[in-house]
Amino acid sequence: MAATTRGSHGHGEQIPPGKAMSTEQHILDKGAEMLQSLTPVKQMNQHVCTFALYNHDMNRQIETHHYVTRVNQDFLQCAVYDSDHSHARLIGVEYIVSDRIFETLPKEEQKLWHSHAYEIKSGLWVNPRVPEMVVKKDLENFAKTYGKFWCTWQTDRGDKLPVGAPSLMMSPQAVNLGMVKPELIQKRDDRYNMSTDAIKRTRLEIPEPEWLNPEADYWKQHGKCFEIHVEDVEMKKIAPFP
Amino acid sequence: MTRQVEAHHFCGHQNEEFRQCLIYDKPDADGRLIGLEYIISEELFLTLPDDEKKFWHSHLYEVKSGVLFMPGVPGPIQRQDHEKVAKTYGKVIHFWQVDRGDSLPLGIPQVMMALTRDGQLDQNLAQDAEKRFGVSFNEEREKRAYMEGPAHGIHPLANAGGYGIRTVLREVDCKPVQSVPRVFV
Repeated sequence: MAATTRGSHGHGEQIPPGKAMSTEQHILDKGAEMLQSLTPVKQMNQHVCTFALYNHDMNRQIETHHYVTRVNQDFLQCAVYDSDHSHARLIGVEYIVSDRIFETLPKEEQKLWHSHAYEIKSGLWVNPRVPEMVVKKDLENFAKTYGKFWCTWQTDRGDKLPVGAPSLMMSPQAVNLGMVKPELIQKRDDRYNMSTDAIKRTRLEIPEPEWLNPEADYWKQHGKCFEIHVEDVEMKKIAPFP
Repeated sequence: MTRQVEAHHFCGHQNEEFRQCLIYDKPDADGRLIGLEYIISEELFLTLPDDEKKFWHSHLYEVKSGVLFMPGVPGPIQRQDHEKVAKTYGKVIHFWQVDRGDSLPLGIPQVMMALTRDGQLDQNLAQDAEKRFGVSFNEEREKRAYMEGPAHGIHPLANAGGYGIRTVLREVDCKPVQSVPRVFV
């Protein structure tokens, strides 16, 4: 991936398609950037690279790049991209809550969330180019959190444009269906010149959470997965639409 | 469509015909990330399968009515960009229903639609935004009167074809594991 050109997907096919940026648009964007504060976006302060699985088809696994904003000690929000390049495609959003918050959620809601303990202990979840020492404390905290990740653009199957309904994503787990394909891990190791396996060994001391709520990682406990479907409905409105 | 939210979009271009945006509920440091939007040109929109078109909304009314604006950017500069946006289509997904008071992102994603004609917008919401950002939608509307929408007109399948789109969660059997080699890492 590191060597691919802007917007291309390896085969010279452009994702998304479209004409190159005009000079006028570049100037407009630059101007807006200078004049506007863009405050919420500037709160992102962490880049996490990890893997995720489509709940409706767990054979499909993707590498993800989370740009994380900590809203408070118990809540984080992430913009998720498919790479860490300037042309990275925005593929979804993940929310992360502490175990404390998670336990307060209704059961129906908890089913949509996944745990992070295995992802962290196994070295899959990394902050690229940041020494482990620096993030250790944070990782210990993250190991106890739960996430809810909606993917809106399936670039992994080559979708040129974001089509269809959002997909619920799950985290890797230490059971067959949840294990990340070795070649996916190898690809990342090569790109960042790192060893996921070595990282895993340095994380042995990170404590396993004493309790993982069985409603999370619903597929693992119950063998059932979730899909979003759409239905046309009559709309409540104050004036005719469209 | 009686539930309406003010949304702040932070957008980047992938190319001239494609933008991707993060949507926050306010433009401040504690803004909550409530959704995202993809914006595409009419040409790209027309390449979408018919089944997909319903997810996308036109931007013409939002632009021409003045309710879509770029805080802090001078009118004449903004309008150059609005001329382009007026011809585009957008797909907005919200994950967090802050308007109903959810303090956490609960439930499943919602497909959002945009305003398409006068009378749809909650006037309290409009006046509140005008006051906070020091803008007048009516004045802007006059200045944007010359702007035009998609060359082929607004597609009848866009804007959910005039219906609402409801997302539903379905519990299904998990697809079996293929016989691919896997290792514990």
